Amino acid sequence: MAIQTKPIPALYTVYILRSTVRHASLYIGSTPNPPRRLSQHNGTARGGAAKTSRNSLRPWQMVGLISGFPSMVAALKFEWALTNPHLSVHIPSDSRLSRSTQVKANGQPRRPSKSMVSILSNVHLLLRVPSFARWPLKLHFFVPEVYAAWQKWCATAAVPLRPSLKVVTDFGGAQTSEGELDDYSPAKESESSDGSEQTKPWGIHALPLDYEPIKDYVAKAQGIFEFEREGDCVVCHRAIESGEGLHAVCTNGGCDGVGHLSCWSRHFMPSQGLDNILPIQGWCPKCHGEIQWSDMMKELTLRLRGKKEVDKLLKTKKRRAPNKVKAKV
Amino acid sequence: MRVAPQWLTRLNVPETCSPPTTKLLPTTILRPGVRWFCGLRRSPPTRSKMASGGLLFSSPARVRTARDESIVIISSSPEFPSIHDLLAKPAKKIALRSGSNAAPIPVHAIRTFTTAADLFRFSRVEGESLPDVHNTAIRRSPSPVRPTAKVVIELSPTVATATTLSGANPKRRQEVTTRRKKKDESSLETKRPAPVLGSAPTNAPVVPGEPPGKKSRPSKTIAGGQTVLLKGKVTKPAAREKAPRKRSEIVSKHFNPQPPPTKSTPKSGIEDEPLALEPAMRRRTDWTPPPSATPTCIPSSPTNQLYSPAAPGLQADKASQSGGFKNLHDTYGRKEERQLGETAGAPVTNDVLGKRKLVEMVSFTTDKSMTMQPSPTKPKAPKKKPRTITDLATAAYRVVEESDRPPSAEKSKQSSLLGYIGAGSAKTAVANRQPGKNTKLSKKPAKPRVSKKKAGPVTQVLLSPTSALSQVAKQDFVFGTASQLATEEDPELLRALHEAMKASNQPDGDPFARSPSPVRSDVAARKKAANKLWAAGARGENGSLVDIEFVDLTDSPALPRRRTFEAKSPKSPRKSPSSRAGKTQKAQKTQKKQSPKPHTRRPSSGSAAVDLSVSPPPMSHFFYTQDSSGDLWNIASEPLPEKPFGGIEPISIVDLDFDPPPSNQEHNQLLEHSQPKSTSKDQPDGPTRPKFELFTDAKLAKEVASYGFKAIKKRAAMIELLDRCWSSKNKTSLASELAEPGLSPTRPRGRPRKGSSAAAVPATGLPVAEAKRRGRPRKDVTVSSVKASKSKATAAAELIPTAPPSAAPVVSAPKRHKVVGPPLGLEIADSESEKEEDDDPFASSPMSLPDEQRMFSSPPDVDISIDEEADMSLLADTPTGQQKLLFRYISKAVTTAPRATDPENPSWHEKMLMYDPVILEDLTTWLNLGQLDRVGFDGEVAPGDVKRWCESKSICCLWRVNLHGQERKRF
Repeated sequence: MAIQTKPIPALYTVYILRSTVRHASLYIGSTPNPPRRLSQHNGTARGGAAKTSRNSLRPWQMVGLISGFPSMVAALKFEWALTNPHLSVHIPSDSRLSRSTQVKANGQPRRPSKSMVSILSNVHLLLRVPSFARWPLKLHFFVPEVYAAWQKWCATAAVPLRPSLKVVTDFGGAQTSEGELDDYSPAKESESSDGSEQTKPWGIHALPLDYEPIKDYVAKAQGIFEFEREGDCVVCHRAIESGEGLHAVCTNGGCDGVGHLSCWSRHFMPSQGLDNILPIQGWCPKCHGEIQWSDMMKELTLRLRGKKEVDKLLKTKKRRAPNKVKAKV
Repeated sequence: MRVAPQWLTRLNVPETCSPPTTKLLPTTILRPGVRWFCGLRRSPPTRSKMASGGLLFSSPARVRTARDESIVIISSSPEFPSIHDLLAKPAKKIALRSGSNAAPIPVHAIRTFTTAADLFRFSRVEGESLPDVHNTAIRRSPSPVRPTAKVVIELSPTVATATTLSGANPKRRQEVTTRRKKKDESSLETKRPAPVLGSAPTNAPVVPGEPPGKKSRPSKTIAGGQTVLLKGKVTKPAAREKAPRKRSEIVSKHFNPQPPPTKSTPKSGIEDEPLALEPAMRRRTDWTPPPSATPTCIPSSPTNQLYSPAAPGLQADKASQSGGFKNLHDTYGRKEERQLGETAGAPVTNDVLGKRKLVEMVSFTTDKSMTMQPSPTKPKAPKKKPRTITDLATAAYRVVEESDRPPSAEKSKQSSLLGYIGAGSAKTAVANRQPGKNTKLSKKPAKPRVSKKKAGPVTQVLLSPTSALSQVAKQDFVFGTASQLATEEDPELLRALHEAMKASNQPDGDPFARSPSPVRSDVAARKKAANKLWAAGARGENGSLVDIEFVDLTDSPALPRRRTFEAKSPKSPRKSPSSRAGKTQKAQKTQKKQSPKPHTRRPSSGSAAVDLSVSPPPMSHFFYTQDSSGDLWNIASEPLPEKPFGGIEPISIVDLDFDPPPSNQEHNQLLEHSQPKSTSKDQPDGPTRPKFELFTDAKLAKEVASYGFKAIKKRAAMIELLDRCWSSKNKTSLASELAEPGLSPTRPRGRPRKGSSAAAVPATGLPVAEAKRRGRPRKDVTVSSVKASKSKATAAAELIPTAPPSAAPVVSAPKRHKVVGPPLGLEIADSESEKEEDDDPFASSPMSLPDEQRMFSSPPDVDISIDEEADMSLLADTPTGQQKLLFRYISKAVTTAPRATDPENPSWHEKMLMYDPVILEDLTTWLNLGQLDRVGFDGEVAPGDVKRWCESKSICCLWRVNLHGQERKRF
């Protein structure tokens, strides 16, 4: 079996690109590095997309993106579904919004043309379909009118998004972000009211491309596991054997609650096994702080599979680490 | 460069006048050696461009008309088309010499053909005529020809002859070269007036007396005796004096018997006088090699021969020497070739030949000795290895192929197909025997064959079409797969193989297909062989299966074939309870813990019977779970020996996917079939199954590999696997009886067997196998995966039907449910039916007609169907009740699995929790391996179901193998 060898990426997004020249030209893509990708689209860097290579449509701008995908595969799935809403099987037929009416020469259904409204509506839809519903995603908007369109659509949508799915905006100006910010992503949106758009990076440029936001968390966890301070599982209260299994650490600042992974999931979702597998958020039994499952998993996978990233993040060399830590990490 | 002979200039011939032939451009390079002669013409020649001065040039080969009697160009290149003809017409127009510009014809020119009398006459009047001729010629020419200048003289045969007869003259050759022309003229000689003749001689001598400015062709020799006609040369005044003498000499040549010093005329002169002819001109070197030393008689051209009769006098010299026509060939033949051939080594020849190869010089005519020389060819080179594509392609089919056979036949037994089958020692022994036999046999015939072939090449006889066709038809064709054929298989074996396969594919031919047993099910089902499938699942009033046979896979060694089943139920517990108990225990172990005792139901199922008949080995390929029911064994028809299962782990899942591809499966079966079975081998099989537990790991691995399985790491798993293999080899298979044997081996059986004992089967094999079929098909076979059980197990639980047949009754059940499957095959129907399995006696999912469709359905999530209704979003549809049930089971299986101790290998649940993309094939495998059993679910899941489950749980999932059959490597 293929073993996942990479940790949860620090950032993987699916973005909506719009031509500044012609607002009707839209493009959907995915990237772990939005600024770089944008420069590629605009021709500044090599490797842009063919559809965005037309000079008459450049420069492009990212008007919105969905972040928080736990893997590249997940992002690609979502991107495809968003690009092909008329085909995606993730969308139930009855709730399908985009339907193809024509057929191409090769027999395939023709894709209905994109519009901002259609994209937004499909985003709204995809965020609700069972296939993606429980993903730790977050929606960002960088252009006011797009955000307005989104809100307009949401108002008309029959089913709202789940509350835990955050929608944040960053218009670069003095804007307030809606929704709550995670504790560990303070820099995601610049809520700065100074209005200095030029000097301070905003929008996609303000997105953290690495694990910096969770650095403290990671460091904390490193400390715990390096010294084997796990203690007992905060859920089942049984001893945690170091290096024997997957143990997650509470995300909250001062709490060092460690628990078995399955215990955590059971704790977050008591009815697990019948309803859902994936938790979304829960409360730490130790510090009673709110924990986002994705954050905890991010750290866990980092510790488990991203040793290099951890080292780079913490800028520590683990050569001195005892063998046991290495086995664990 | 145009060489203007001095005589030309003297005559004030316009520069544009081209020398010999009128077409010669001023810039034309005169060929060296070609001696051009000019002559006046009475009328313009057809091809010539005449200078107004009256120079007339024409090629000697041109047929002389009556008007061309005046002057004939004597060219040393007789048969050559005039160079002027070859060249383009010169740009500058030479004044036409026609019409008013026509060259004047001397008044006294002979207008008729020369006769012998004329010649004779002219010879007398040489002296006199000459001046006359000359004068007349000059007088005639209107052109500004100075009287002194010897303009081109009208060539008259007499003149020509006169010139030629001028005797030994150093310039003889010039005259000779024009012999041909003169010959032409000779025909006209008779018409020429005598004075013309006289004039000719007057001119002729001038010709030879020309200063060396004139080109001469010393090497050119013309066959002697030719009439040197009309040296229509413009003679210089200085040379004029010599003219008479020359002419006289020339004339004398004709008529005097003086033999020419060097030349010889090939013609037989009318007067057989020796002609004092100059030696013939040497042949031109560039097209004919001249004789090495002899300047004599090189035949110039056929035209010479033409001339010969006309001017016999000219050639009298030679003719007289050689006796006239008799020696024509000698004289005009290619003597020089012979001479050259003889003197092949002469340096002269080489020089002459230039680039020509010496070989070409060999004379074909005379000297046989030359030709008979053994050509210095290399001895026949040894036959090289084929280098051409044709050779390479046909190398395999060449005659000497025979010699290649013995080495191939001596190949080890592995090379033979039999080597593949020989798993057990007995088989290998058999295999050893046969290849050994083959080698021995093939060796012997190979040897004589080889020798025979080498004796001589096979003479190909061309057959008539019909006979060829019949010969083709008579060939013994052996068919088989490339691998079979390549391994030098015994043709009989191959044929037997194919026969067996064919037989097995026939509905009637299947030994198990016949079910003579009384069936309680409908008569209709019984009657129709095609309904065997349905009949197989037929149930009696009890709801228990009818018409089914049970196979005890665990024991029952070489039992006599017994197809009947429940009729034989009376032979119930014969076996000692203890032994039964032992088995029952084990069998029950396989059951899920919650499973009710199946054997309690057993007695009720009168129909259920285990037929322990031993099928022919080919069918023993299939495995069946040891069903939980001890009744299985109870109903054994014969005492079964104790089967020492020893420490073998209970087999939870029956189906074992023995992965030789279908072709090989059949193949193996049939090969086993075709091989002489040693019953003794079979007999002990059951009772004396080798104790795998006692095998070493290496030996186990070897055995496992011999069955075609990949290496299994765990010893226990290997043992179990080998057990199954062994059992299947020696047991009847139910499914084979019920199902179409042709089908069963391959399709329903196919890959999909999940589950061997825990983790025994290499996961990689199965996922890959399953990956190929994302549809339902796996479910069908699961029959055997009789997680027999339990909750649902009814009487049928103990059945071990495989595949489709068993599906018969079950099919009806699921049909109740909404089948939402579009042709593109989202396995809704299957899944629904599967939910049903709770109630089904058959743990298997139904696999009926739609299954085939589903087999080839594309995975739903990538569906791109145009039809939206029948669309792909079925996945996202709320699961139906059955689906929900299944999902619940899956969830339960996933979540209740023990957590992993190794962080590197998290459990599935943990993987999901960590948002790892789930590989559907792997998860399906894992689920079917026993997890579902653990949670109480019967049957197997298909990857499509698993996918739907994942998506319902928001778990990111993906296929390992994409639509194109490529595996993902990057996640």
